[in-house]
Amino acid sequence: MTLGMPAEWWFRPTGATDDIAVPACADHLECDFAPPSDGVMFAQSWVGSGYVGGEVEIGRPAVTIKIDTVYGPNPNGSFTTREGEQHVTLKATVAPATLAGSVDWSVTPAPEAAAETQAPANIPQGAPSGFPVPTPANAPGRWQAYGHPGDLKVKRLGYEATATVSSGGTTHRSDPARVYQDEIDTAREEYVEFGIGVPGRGEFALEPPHETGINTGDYGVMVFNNAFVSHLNNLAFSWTAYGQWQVNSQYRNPIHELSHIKDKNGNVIPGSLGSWHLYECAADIQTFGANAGAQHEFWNDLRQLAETLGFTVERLKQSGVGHVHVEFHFCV
Amino acid sequence: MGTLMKRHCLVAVLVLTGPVRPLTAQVPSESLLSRLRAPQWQVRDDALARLRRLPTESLPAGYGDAIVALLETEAATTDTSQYGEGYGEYEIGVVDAALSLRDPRTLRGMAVIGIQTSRAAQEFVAEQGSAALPYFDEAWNSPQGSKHDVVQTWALMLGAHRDNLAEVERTSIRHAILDSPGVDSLAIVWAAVTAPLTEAVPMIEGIASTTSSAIVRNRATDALGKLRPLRAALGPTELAQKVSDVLAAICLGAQGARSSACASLSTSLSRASSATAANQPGPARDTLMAFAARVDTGFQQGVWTDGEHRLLAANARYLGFRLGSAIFLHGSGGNANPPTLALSTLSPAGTTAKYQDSPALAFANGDPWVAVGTWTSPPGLGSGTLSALGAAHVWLGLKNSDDIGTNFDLRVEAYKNGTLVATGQTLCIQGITRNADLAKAVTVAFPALTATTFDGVTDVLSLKVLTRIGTTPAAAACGGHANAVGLRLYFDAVGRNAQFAATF
Repeated sequence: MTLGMPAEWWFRPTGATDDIAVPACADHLECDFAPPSDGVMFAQSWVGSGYVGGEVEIGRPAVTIKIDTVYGPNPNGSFTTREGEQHVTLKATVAPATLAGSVDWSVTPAPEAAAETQAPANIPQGAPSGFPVPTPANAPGRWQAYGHPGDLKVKRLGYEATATVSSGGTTHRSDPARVYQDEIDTAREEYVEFGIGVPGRGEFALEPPHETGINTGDYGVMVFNNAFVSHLNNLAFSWTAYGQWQVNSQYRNPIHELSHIKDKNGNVIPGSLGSWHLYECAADIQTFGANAGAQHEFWNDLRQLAETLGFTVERLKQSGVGHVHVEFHFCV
Repeated sequence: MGTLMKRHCLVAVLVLTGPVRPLTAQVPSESLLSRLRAPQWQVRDDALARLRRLPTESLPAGYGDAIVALLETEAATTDTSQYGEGYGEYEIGVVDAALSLRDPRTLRGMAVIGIQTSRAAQEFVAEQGSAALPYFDEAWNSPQGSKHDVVQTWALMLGAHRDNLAEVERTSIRHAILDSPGVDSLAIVWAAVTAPLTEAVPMIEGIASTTSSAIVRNRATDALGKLRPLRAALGPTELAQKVSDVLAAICLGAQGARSSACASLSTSLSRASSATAANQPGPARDTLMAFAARVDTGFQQGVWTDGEHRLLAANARYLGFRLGSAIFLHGSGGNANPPTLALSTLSPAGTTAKYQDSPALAFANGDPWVAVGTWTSPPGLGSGTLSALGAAHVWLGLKNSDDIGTNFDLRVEAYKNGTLVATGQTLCIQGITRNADLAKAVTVAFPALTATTFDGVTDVLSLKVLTRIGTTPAAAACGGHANAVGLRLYFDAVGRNAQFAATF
C-alpha cells in the first residue's frame, strides 16, 4: 500500500473498534504488512494544519471451485475397464488458482449406474486429476442378474465426482458431476469382463434388438461385421431360388449367448463364449418345410450351399433340423 | 455369525459356477492342455479357445497330441443332446484346431464329425486318399456320422484328389456314390457337381423328373445346368471311358445273371471303345446302341435297377449320338405299308425300299393335312438335350400314276412322348412320279427348336410325316391336280435311307 509521503500506519480488524498501530511502517512511504485478519488499513500524514491520508479494506479473496469435466477416453466421455480405455479424467477450476494443487476429489458410484460400480481408491490431489476405473464387483458374474434385455441404467458403470478445496479453515465443495458408460461401451464391457476379444467401438452400429433378426442381443447396438454380412448376402442371393430365407439370429452379446437363449420349453441352453455370434460372424438361418423330410432337405441343401461358399456349419446333430448355423472364419 | 457367513460364501460360489463361466485372466499353457481333458465341455472349450489364441511358437509341447486326442473324444461322444447351444460351435472349434495340424492321425475324427462342418475338412480327408478310406465305413454306420457328407467327401476324392486313389478304389467309390442304397438324392446331386461326375447326368435327369421335392428338383436342375456343358465338352474317347467307369462301378461284386450281363456288356463296350479309338464312328455307334438295348432288356428282366439302367443305357446312347446324329426310318411287317413304323440309329441294310402311302388328298374343304405315317423310336433312343433337328430326307412317289402332275406339300413333325417339339414343311413339291426307281428325293428342314431333354431310357421320339395338295406360301393352290389318290413315301433301304438328324 502506498500513500506517497511518510505517514503513520494503522490497521483495524473487521468488527473491532480499536485501531492497531503498525510501528514497523511508521514514517514509511509504503507499508508491507501481513494483516492478521480481514480489516481496514489506513495511513495518515500531518500536512500544514491537518492530516491527509487514506484507507483500504483488506480481505482474503473469495474461494470458488467447480468441476469442468469428468470424462473417459472414449467418445461421449465413455470408458471401459479395459487397459487404455479405463482412465477417467477429472478437471476442476478453482479460485484462487494458487489452490489448484490442493483440490481433493471424491468419486462414488453414480446413481442410475450398476450397483457393482467400484469407487476408485487414492485419487491424486489436484485440479486436473483422474483415476483408473476399477473392475466392478462380481465381474463377470454380475451380468447374469440383469436379465434379457436388461436396463442399461443398471448395467453401465458410472461415477459421480465432487471436488473440494480448503482455505482459511473453510472447505469449499463443487457441485457434483457424473460420467457414464454409453451403450456401446456397456456392451463392450461385457467382453472385457469375460476376458475375451473386445470389438472396437467402430464395429458397433445402431440396430434395435429383436427376438428374431440380425440383432438378438440385449442392446440397441450390435457388432456389424461388413465382411460377414456381405458374404451372408451372397449365400442369401444364391439361396433365393431354392427356398425361403429368414435369419433367426446373427449378433448376440456375451451374456445373451451364455444365459438368455432358451429352448422351446423355456429352459436356458447355455452357449459358448467362443461363439462367433459374439462378433457377428455367425448366423442361424431358419429352415422351412411342410414335413420333417422336407425340412431335412431344406437343411441339407442350404448347409451344402453354405459350405460350398466357404462357410463352416454346425452339424445337424447339434443345430437340429430347425435351423442352419453358419460361420465364416475369415471375417475377423 | 460364523454359520451365516458360510452360507453367504456358498451362494457366491453357486453364482460363479452357474451358466456364466468366468474366464480367469492368465492360465499357464501347460495347464490348459490338461483342461482339454476336463469332463465339462465348457472347460475344454475355454482351454481350447485360449490355446488357439497363442502364437504357434508359444504352444506348449504336446499340443498336437492333445488336439488329436480331443477330436477323438468328441467324435466318440454319441449323446450330446444335453450339451446345449454352444456345444456345436465348440465342436467346430475342435475340428478347426485339428484341421490346422494337417495330421493324418485326425483322419478318423475328421471322417466321423469333421467332414460335417466344412468343405475344408472334407478336402483334408479327401487329400489323404487311400489312407482315409477305412474310416468311411465307421462314418457311414456311426450315429455320429453323416452319409450325406461321406458322399460329398467321396466326390472330392473322385475329383481333385483322384490321383491319390488306385483305380480299383475309384471304382469302389463311384459304386458307392452312384449305386448304393441309402444315399439320398440330394447327396447324389451335390456329389455329382462337386466331383464333377458328368456320367451321373442321366441319373440326375431321372431325379429331376421324378422327385416330389421342389428343393431337390431345383438343385437337380441347377446341377444339370452345370454338368451338361461339361459333358458336352468331353470327346468320344473320354465319354467312352465314362461309360466304362460306370459299368465297372455297377458291376463291382456282381454275381449270377448280373455277372453274366456285366461280362457281356463289358465286351460290347470294349468293341465300341476300340471302334471309337479307330475313328469308326458308325460301328461304334451301332455297338453302343445295341449295348443300350441290352441294358433295356436287362432292366425289364430285373437285372438292373432303374438307376443302373439310366446310367448305362442313357450314357451309351448319349455317346452314340455324339458319334453320329442320323436317325433312320424303318418299317417291319412287309414292304407295302408295313404295320410297324420305327425310328432307329441303325442305317437300313436292305436293298428293297419299303413305302408308306397317304390317304387320298383333295384341295377342296380347306386342303387339310393328312398323315402319311408316324415313325416312333423305342423308349430311350435319344439321350441328353435335343438341341437341333437336321432336315428330314425322304423319297416321294405316287400311289397312282393318274396323279402325275399333282403337286404336294410335305410336313414333318417331331414329338417327344407325344408332345410336339418341332415342325417343318416344304411347299409345292413337283415332279413326283409313280415309278419307284424315279422316286424324288425331298428335304424338309426343321427350324430352330427349344432345347428338350431326353432321358435315354424312357423318353420316346417320333416323326410324323403329313402331306396335302401343293400350295403357295399364301395358301393358294400352286397348280396341278386338285386331288390325288395318295402320296407314297419310300424308306428303309440302302438307296432310300430316309432319315433326319438329331443333335443331343
